[in-house]
Amino acid sequence: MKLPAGLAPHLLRSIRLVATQLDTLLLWATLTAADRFMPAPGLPWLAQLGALVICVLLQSPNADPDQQAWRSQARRLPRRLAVVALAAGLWYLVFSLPATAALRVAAVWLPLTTLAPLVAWRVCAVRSTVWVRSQFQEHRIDIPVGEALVFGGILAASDTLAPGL
Amino acid sequence: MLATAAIWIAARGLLRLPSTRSGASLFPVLVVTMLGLAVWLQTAGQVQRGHLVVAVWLVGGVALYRFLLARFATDAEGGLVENFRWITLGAVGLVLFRPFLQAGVHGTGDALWYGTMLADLMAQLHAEVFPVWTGQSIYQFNGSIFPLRIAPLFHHAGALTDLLTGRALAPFSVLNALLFGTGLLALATTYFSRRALLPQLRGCAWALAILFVGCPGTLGLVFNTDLFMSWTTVPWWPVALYGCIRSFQASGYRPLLILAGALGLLWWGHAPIALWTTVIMSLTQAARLLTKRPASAMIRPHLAAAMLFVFVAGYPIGSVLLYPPEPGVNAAGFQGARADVVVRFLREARPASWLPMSAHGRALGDFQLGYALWSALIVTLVLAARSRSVALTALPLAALGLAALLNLPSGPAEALWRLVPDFVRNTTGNWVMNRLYFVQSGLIVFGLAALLAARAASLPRTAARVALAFALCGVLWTRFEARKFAAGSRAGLRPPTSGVLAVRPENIQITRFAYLVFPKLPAYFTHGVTAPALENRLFNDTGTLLADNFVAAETGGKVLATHEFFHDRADNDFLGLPLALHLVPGRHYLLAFDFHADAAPEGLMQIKGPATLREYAMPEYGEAASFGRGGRHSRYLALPHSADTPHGVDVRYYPAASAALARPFGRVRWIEYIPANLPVDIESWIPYRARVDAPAAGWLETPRMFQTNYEATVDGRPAIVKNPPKVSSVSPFRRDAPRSNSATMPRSG
Repeated sequence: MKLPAGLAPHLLRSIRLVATQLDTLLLWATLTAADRFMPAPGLPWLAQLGALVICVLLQSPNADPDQQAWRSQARRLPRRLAVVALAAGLWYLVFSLPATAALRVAAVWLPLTTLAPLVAWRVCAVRSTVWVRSQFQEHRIDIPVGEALVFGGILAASDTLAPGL
Repeated sequence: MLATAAIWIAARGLLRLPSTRSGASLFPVLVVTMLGLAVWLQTAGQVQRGHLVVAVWLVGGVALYRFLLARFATDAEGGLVENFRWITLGAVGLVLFRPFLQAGVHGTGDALWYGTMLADLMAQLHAEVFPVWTGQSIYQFNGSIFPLRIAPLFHHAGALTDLLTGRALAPFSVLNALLFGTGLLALATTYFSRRALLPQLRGCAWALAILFVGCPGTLGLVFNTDLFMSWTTVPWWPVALYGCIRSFQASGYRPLLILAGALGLLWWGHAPIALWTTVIMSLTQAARLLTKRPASAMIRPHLAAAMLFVFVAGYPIGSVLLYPPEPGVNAAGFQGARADVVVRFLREARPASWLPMSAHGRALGDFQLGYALWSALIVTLVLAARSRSVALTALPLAALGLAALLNLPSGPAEALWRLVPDFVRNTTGNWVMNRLYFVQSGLIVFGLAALLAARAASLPRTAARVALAFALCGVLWTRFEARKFAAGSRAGLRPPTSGVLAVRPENIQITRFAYLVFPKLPAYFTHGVTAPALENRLFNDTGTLLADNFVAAETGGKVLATHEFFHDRADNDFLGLPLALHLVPGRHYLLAFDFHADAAPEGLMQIKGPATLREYAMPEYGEAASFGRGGRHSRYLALPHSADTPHGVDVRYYPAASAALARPFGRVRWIEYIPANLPVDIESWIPYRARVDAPAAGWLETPRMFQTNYEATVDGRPAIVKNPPKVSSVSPFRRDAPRSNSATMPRSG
């Protein structure tokens, strides 16, 4: 995917930083889901942290010599595979986890990160920020949020303190 | 629940309610919601009192929220942020105290004790007895006064909770609601008092409020070892600190009256914590009087504050010290704490008290300050060192002093603890960490608040942001640690029915703690479930037993079966009966044991059924005449059945040594008796009223502990109440008529 020509380098870095953050965020979500749904022994938090550190190191935008374009999916794939390989090595050697653990994580993470750029995240972010701000400042949606908390708290309390009420 | 939420959302959408000032439009929304609820409940056809209580709470809760919003968060920008602080505080409260939103028993033995204490108070209030001075119902049939009169806030706040929930909740649900509500109240009082001190740094006030309540030393009060009385002090310590700081900032009556009132409430909550906080606050006020001039102008406000303090704190201090259960009893000295023992317990808690909490937050080392407040203490001391004001250094110095008492190596710590007066040390007890980390956490966060307030006007914007970021990091760490308390609660989670089962007559436990402050335990005391209706005896003037309800139940009852204990399978580690005992609702049973001469002396007797789990250590589980084997021990256990359906219960004996499984143990006779046929038939517990059928004139011994000023009547005529010197617990009645009559024992004074 090509970026518009003439973008300042700091904007390019910013965009790539968002891409890295997105990849890392998706990896975190995948690891969390894997920890919950994978069979025992699950993923120790140190193993998860290690995979995230590897992801950040390898995907760092500052390490990218290409200042002209958004890296294509094909060019990004080797780095992602490297993240998976290194994580698998780390998990197998240090944490004695089965090698299939990394494969399961990769099976979710790779498609997610591939599909993620298809969504216009920055546009979504800007629009959602404007929408949220208007909801709070003009429509004071915080008040129904507070009322919902009061309602929810009272109903939860009645439901748990007097079961079957 | 979902239907109510849906109706509320629909009503809001229908009637639009956008601004904070639309109080008038709130009313129709509430009306529509309530009408919708009424229609829904009518359709469901199961309207209960609880539904009405919930409806009132929903209306009251939203109305209160709206009122506070209009009162404190009116301006558009500031109001929005302020509202979010409240919402997040509420959410934090829900997350922190979520484990108490349950109908089951949360906690261990002490929680059961306090739950039955509360059940007793509720029973007396429902019987229109107020004020309550001693236990009276079957939940505290021994007439206990501890901790009812030493820490009355817990009981009276529980009674208020019962009232506010429309008497729709079971005792343990009321207890859990009280603990949950106290937590939310603590967050509110902490934030509002700090908000008043830091109007320009409300973000920091918000974060410090969470740091104080979320401190392991504070949260541990309610989660770790069930210190529910201490927990009731948490909302009031911040108010006292607020009054103290304000007294340095402004002269006049108001700050001192706030301080005195809050200290008085602390005495209602928990005497050891109140003692320490009162000493610290008194020292700070003494420093204030010495440094502020003219001192004469402050005398009147101080006198007014002292009078208010005596008025509020007079009852919990005076009711036991001045009116002990028996003349000459030293009610203040029922526990002793030596300096070396205090220091030993502190040493045993280290290094755990300096490390992150254990996985379930239930260890002694989990009573700690936590890294967030250790960091805050360091910042507070650095800032205080640069200030020369007594007002700003008093609280940090007190926090530093407590840090020294709690954390110094054994030698210097013991020397310091020896300097603490015996009266203070004994009142505090050996486990000082249970009381002092909470006190210290308040001193730190309010000391920091006072220091920040002094600099708020000149504080650069960047510095304010750094302070907020610092506090936010502390909040995140505190939340990370606090989740361990919830994990511990999940690990020990009991079914929702456990709360109801715990207050069934067949399961009510009266432990030795219910007899604290009384000079001596009665000989018949059994540490666990007993049958108060059978603990009634008749004696003649020389102390010879005339009649005993247990014996009468055995001799006059109907023997349903006689079973021999036997060991049926090699993989079983107990001796059992060939059949489960089939209990029918509303009937009363007695187990009469005949132990074999060669029976294993040590072991555990267990009675287990769907709604019952009772265990008794053998050969004795209490005093000399308690249930047990040999000597004067009683060989009887009563087994009432209050459930709605028939149950089968197993009776098992687990000998301490497996070799004893092969030896004969004994037999049990299963007897059904009718209470009305007993020589002493209890007609009422509130007040105690019995119909007595005695073979000769004599004295009635009841399970009530003797107390000065008890009054009794026999057939309407005043009777003598006395405390025989050899059996100090007995409260007998003189009975004059030889045949059936009735005896009552209302309380007096």
